[in-house]
Amino acid sequence: MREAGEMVPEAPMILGDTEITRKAREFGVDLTLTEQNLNLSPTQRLLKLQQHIAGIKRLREGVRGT
Amino acid sequence: MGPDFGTLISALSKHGVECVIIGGVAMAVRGSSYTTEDFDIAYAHDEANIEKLVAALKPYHPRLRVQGEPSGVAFKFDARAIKNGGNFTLLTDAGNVDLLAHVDGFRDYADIKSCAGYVDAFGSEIAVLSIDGLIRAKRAAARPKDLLVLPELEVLKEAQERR
Repeated sequence: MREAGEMVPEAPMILGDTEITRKAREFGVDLTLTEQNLNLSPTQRLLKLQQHIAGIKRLREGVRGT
Repeated sequence: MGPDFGTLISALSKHGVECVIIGGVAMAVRGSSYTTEDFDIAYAHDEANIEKLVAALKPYHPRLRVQGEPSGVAFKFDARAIKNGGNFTLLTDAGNVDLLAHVDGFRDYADIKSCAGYVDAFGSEIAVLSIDGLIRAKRAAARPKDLLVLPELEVLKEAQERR
């Protein structure tokens, strides 16, 4: 669902095993999510964020309703 | 209702507002997995640009975002109010919008703009703070929530350099 003219990665981006990625993983960052994002267009990244926020809101409303 | 980033980006672009997306949405555009609801923009604080900014956002009924007031507090959203202020935390029909004339770690708007690049999102060209700019802003703000995101931003910087 890439739109015309969007900046998209030329090839699948895979985060390597470097000192920086190791440090981030040790810190608790789930780099599989970051890697997924890097292979999306900017629009797709923002739509994913919107869907995530909507999901959290629905969850909160569900908790309030119980 | 959740945020509608596409609507906000289209409105700012259509009106030619001189602004840069910063904060969590800029992080998301650059590939971060952290979640934010707030659409933060740095804007040029000159009269002509403020007029454009007001024209772009007014259709979405900006209210002041205040704790304990889920619907926000009504105020006269016009060029005069924006000119007299600087930073505003707003609630709009398209989600939370933070307008920032001053950003930690940057001298002025020109300094912010020099650390941004144009990105095509939702069919509009919009300036977004670079990963280096985000790292600079987060280090300058240095609140726990800012420092928390630095390890992932460093990964994104490394990935960008490898490309």
